[in-house]
Amino acid sequence: MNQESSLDRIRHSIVMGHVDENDEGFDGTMEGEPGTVDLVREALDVDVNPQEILNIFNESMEEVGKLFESGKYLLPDMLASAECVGNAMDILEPHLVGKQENQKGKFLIATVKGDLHDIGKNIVSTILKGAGYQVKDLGIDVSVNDIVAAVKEFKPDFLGLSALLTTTMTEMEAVIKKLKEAGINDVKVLIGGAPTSEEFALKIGADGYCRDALHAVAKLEQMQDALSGR
Amino acid sequence: MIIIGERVNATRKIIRTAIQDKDRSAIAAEIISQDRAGADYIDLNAGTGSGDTDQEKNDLCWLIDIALECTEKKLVLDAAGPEVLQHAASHLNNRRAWMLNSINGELEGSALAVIDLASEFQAPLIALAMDQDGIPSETERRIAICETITEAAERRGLDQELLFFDPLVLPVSTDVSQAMVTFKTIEGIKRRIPAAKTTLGLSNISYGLKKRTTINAAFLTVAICCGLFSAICDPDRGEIRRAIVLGELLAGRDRFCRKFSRAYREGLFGEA
Repeated sequence: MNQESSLDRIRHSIVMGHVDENDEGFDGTMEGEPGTVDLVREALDVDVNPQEILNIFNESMEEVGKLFESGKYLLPDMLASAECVGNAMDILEPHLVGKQENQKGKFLIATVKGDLHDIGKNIVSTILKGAGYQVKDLGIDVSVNDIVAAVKEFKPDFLGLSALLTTTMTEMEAVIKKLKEAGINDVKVLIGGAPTSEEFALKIGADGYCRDALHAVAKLEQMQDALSGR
Repeated sequence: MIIIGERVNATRKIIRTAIQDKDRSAIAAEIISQDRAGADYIDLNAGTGSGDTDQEKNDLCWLIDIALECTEKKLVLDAAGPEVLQHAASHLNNRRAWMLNSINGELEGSALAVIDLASEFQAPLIALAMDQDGIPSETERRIAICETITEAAERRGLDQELLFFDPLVLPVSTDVSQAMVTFKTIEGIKRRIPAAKTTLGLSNISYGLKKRTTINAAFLTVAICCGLFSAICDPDRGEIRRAIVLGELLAGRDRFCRKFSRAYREGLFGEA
């Protein structure tokens, strides 16, 4: 198989959200076909450039994002595509060694102390993995100290904080304060969750507010561009 | 979810008439519309109730020939007696995957002959959770009958994987507890005879009431959530198709909600 058709198949598989051979894909026609991970493995076997595969991941997820925003895709369709990329990334990553400049960066995410909501956080986490970020998820009900300790250890480029309650969103401010006290100022803090807002983000000194998962992807791209002066 | 299309059944007047008039196209139309609506199996029943076994044999073979021509779907040979089923099975001669419908827990000669037939061809067999005393009104008794059938079948070389138990249902119009009895029977069969499958005819649940399809559909959705494997129904009815999609969605059997979203896009739930 030539390299171009191999990349096209990967793109189609991601857009269809075809995780593995048992999955029927968005249009219901793909059961029994090799999954995205298998296609990526095959492509690497025939020496397709890993960088080109990574580009296909990004292009495909952009396409999926558009399909979601247009209303054609529902949330689980987008999550299926993100899962394809997330799984395939594990296979691709070792082949990208030495090409660190292409990594989008590390993202640490948590739902703050006192808050047990995890649906939104999990969606953001899956979508960001699909968009090529290395994501570490600390879970729900995570204390300020645990978050700060994880930042020190994981050294993320971005920290995402989620809160769904007006009573717990104040924890976000405590995290930012504690990071400053600890002298950590090279991590960008993004917040999200129903009661939060742009104004709230400004008020507590966060670097950004994200309305939903796709907004988070866009926001991160903007920040990357600003950082690299593009 | 395995759907067995129920419409080609001579207890329905339209089918009985078509069989008597040898109206091929009427039968074909019934088969094709169920095929298109997503049936996995097409049930074929030629029992006009005349008691004429030779007639029923010929009629069932006639139905089989039509089905072989107009659909690729699997077939269910549906008759009360072993003679008709044996004759139909040798006529079909494995030209298509098929199964047998049905026996119950009255395990005398006739039921045993059908088990032997299923065993000979290693064909799946539908078995009803009732016996010579009728349909028990309690869960435990129905499950016990299924266990007895399982033992008899396994002794005769038919593994439990090939048994499709119909837990049966009595009308809620005469006993409001009966829907729950069926649900608990489905769960009980799954627990106690784990490799066996379940299937269910729906319409009895709503006997004597109004809006019967709506009741049947709600009943089916809950039954799927209790682990129902298959249903004997008319997949051409929107309410039934919606019930299946919703049941699988809520039962966690629709990965990435694919079937739901496709049905939604196809307009099964109204304007998208």
